[in-house]
Amino acid sequence: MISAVLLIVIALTGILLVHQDDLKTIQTSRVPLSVLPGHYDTRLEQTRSRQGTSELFAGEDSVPMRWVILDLHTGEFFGKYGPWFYDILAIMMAVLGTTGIVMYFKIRKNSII
Amino acid sequence: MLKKSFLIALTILGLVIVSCSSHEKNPEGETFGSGVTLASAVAVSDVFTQVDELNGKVIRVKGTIEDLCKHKGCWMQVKEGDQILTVRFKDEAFTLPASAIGRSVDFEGLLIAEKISNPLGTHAACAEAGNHEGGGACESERAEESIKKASDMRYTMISTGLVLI
Repeated sequence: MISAVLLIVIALTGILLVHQDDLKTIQTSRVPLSVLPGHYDTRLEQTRSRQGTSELFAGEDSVPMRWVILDLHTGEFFGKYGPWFYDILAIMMAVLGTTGIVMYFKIRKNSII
Repeated sequence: MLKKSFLIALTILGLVIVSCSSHEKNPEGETFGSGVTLASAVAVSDVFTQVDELNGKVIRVKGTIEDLCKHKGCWMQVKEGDQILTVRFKDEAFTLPASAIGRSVDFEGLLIAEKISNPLGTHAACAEAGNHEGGGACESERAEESIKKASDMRYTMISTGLVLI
């Protein structure tokens, strides 16, 4: 069930990322930090520190929607181990796909015989 | 039934993407981020000449992209003569394609002009320039130049949106 939900999330975020230049909402919308995992606070702080805008936008506690979509797609949304979990999921999907193809040809061959 | 649902979902998704398409249909150019909202734009050269007046304000600027961050596309440099205006995209909310170099750009954002002092200090700067043996002043023109550059003004714009023309 978890795998299926994540696959849907990966597929949908993939489509959104490919079309991010066409979808203005992705470039202009922001997601409040209160609904996001704690590591987004650190990341926002680091980004603003790099840009020299920490003091300028101190009261703006939200991140661009693009960050969230990209992270949901790569697994970084779930923290440090998120991408590893996605890797395992990807390997599982590749194995399932391969065994599916093998089974298809085996069943086809048996039905011909 | 499943096939029908899939086709309906695909059609809806396609329609959403087409209807939300921002930069393809804009006759003025390709819009990134929030685009531009201010009525009039100033030239890059005017930013440098009117810096006292414009510093700390949200302004609209027109120029040509000289360079941009090729890895992420999260900053660009707009040049005019010897002056370079560095433009960062607020919170890296949007990126530009590498093909944008050399194109005209109309962007909007907050101008920050600040005098930067050499964070390493005089001795370190001289040492970095390669001609300082410690204790005294810089021992070459090149080293002195490095300090002069390090104490120049830095002009940065934090952009919320732009239009590539």
